[in-house]
Amino acid sequence: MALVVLVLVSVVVFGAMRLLPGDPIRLIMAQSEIIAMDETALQNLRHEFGLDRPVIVQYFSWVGGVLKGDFGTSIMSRGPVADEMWHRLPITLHVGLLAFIIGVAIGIPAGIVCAVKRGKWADSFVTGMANIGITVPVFWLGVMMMYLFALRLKWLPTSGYTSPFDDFWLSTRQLVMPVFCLALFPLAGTVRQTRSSMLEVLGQDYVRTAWSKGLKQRAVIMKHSLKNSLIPVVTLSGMQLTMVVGGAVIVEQVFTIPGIGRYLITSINAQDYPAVQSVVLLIAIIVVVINLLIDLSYGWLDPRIRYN
Amino acid sequence: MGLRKSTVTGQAASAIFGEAAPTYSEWRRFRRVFFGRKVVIFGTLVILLFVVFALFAPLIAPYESNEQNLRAVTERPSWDHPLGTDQLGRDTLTRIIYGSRISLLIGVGAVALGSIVGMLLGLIAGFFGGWLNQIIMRIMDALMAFPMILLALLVAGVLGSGILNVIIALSVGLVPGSARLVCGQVLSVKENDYILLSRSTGTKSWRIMLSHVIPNCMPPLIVFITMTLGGVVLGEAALSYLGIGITPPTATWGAMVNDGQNYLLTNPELAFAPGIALMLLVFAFNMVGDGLRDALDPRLRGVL
Repeated sequence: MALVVLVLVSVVVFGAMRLLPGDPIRLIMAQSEIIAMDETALQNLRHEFGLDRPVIVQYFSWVGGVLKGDFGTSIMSRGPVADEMWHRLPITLHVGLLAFIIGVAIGIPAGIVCAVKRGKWADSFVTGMANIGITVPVFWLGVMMMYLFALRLKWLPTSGYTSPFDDFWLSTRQLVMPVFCLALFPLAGTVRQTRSSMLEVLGQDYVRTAWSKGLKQRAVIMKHSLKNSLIPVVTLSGMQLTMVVGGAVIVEQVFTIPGIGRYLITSINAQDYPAVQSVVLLIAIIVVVINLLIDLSYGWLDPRIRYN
Repeated sequence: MGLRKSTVTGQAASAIFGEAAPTYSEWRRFRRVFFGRKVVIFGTLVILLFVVFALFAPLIAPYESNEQNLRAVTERPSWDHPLGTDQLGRDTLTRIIYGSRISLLIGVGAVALGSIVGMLLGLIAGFFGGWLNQIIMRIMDALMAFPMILLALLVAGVLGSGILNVIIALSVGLVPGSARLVCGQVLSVKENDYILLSRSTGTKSWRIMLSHVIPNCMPPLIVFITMTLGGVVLGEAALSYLGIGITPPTATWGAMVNDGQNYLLTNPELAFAPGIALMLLVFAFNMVGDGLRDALDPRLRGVL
C-alpha cells in the first residue's frame, strides 16, 4: 500500500516536472551568458543531462538511480542532487523534529487539563490560545518575532543556522524563533484534538464506573481514559508531522535556514527538474514512513485492532 | 447531516405513507444555534466587512492601489496615510483594502473548485464502488500524503503565475479531503432503506444521486468548506510571501509582509498591518465554520 503511494507520487511528480513551461537548458544559458551557443552545442548540453531521451526512459533511469541512492544531477549547481539533500536534510530534521516534539509534549498535557477542567478559566484560556494558534500566519509570526526579539530587544540573533556541533549555544539561540513558529500549529492542533477526544472518553460508561468505584482522579484519567483518547490524537499527529514538513518550507525561508525547504524553493524558481522531483520524492518517502509507523501504533493503543 | 436528512426522509415517507412532513422549522433551529454564540456573529460581520472592502475597494480606499508617490516613501503613519507608505510611496491602508480582493477571490475560488472536483470524485467512487473506488481513493491517499502548501507550491511552480493558476494550485490540496468525506457519506447513505425503495421502484442511478445522495452530502461538505476557507486564505498568503503565484504590482497581504520585512527597524507597521488583516479574516472563517458545524452537525456540538 505504502509502496503504491510512492510509485504514484514519483510518476505524478515526474510528469508534472515535464509539463513545466520553461526549458531549463535555456535558463542556464541565459545565466552563464553563452549566447553564442549554436544548435549542436545545445543538443550536446541536452545530451549531457539526458534530456534528449524519451520521457519513459528518463523516468526509469531516474527511479533506478533513486533506488541506488543517486538522485540525479542538479541542473543549477551541476553537482549531484543527493549530496545537496543529505547536506540539508539533517538541518530540516533538527528544526522540524524539535518543533514536533515540543508541540506534542506540551499539547497533550494541556489538552488533558482543558478536558478535565472543562469550562473553567484554564480551559477557556488554553482553548482561546489554541484557536489563535491555528489562525496566525506562520511567516508573519516569524517576522514579528524577529522584529521584537532580535531587532528591538536584541535577545536573539535575527536568522541563520549553525550546527549544534560547531557552536551549541549559538545554534540553540538561533533555533528558538523558528522552532516556536513551527511548533505553534502542531501544538494548537494537539491541544484541540486531545481536549475533544478526552471529553468524549470521559463521558463513557466505564469512566463513570471508575469514578464510582472511588478511584483517585489521577488513576481515572491516566489509566482509564488517556490511552483510549489517544487514538485520534495519534492520527492527527501524523498529519501534523506532514504539516511541519510543509511549514518548514516557509519557516526556513523566513529565517534563512539552509534546509530542504529552502532548497525546494530555490529549485522551483530555477526550474531545476532533477532537484525538485527528488526533494518532493524524499518528502513523500518521509511522509509515507511516518504514516506507516502511525498505522502500526494503533495496534498498541487499541488491542482490538489487529493486523494480518 | 441533521438538517437535510430529516426533511428528505420526511418527504420520502410522506410520499408513500401519506404522513405529514415534520412541522417544526429546521431553518429556525439552524438560525438559533448559529447566531447563538457572539463570536460567530462577530466572525460573520468581519467576513461581511471584508467582502464589502473587496467589492467596493476603489470607493473605500483613500488612494489608488498602485499609485506611487516617490516624495513620500516609507513614511510613518500620519493623517494622510493612516498606516504609512511603503518603499514606493504606496499607501499601506489602500493596499490592504485591495489585498482583500485577492485573498477572498482566491480563497473562495480554490475552495469551490477543490470541493466540486472532490465531490464528483467521491460520488463516483462511493456510488459505483469496486475497482473504480479503489483507484480513485488510492490516488487521493497519495495526494493526502502531501502538506497542502507543498502541493500548491509545486502546482503553482508548474503552472506559472496568475490568479487562476494559484486557485488551481491551492484547490489540489482540498480535493482528497472532500472526496474522502463525500465518499464516506455516500457509502453510509447508500445503505438506507429509502434508497432501496427508490431502486425498487425503478429510479435511475443519477436520479437517486441527485435527489437523495447529494443532499445528504451537503451539510458536512458545507462545514468542510468553511473550515478549510481559513486555511486556504493562509495558503495563498504564504505563497505570495514566498513570491510564487501572484506577480508583484498586485497588492497581496503575503507579498506586503515580505516587502515590509526589509523595513522592520524603521517601519514595522508595513509588515505588521497586513498580517493583522489576514488573521482577522482567517479567524472569522474559522469561527463561522465552527458555528455552521454546531448548527448543521448536532453530533459534534459542544465536543470540539
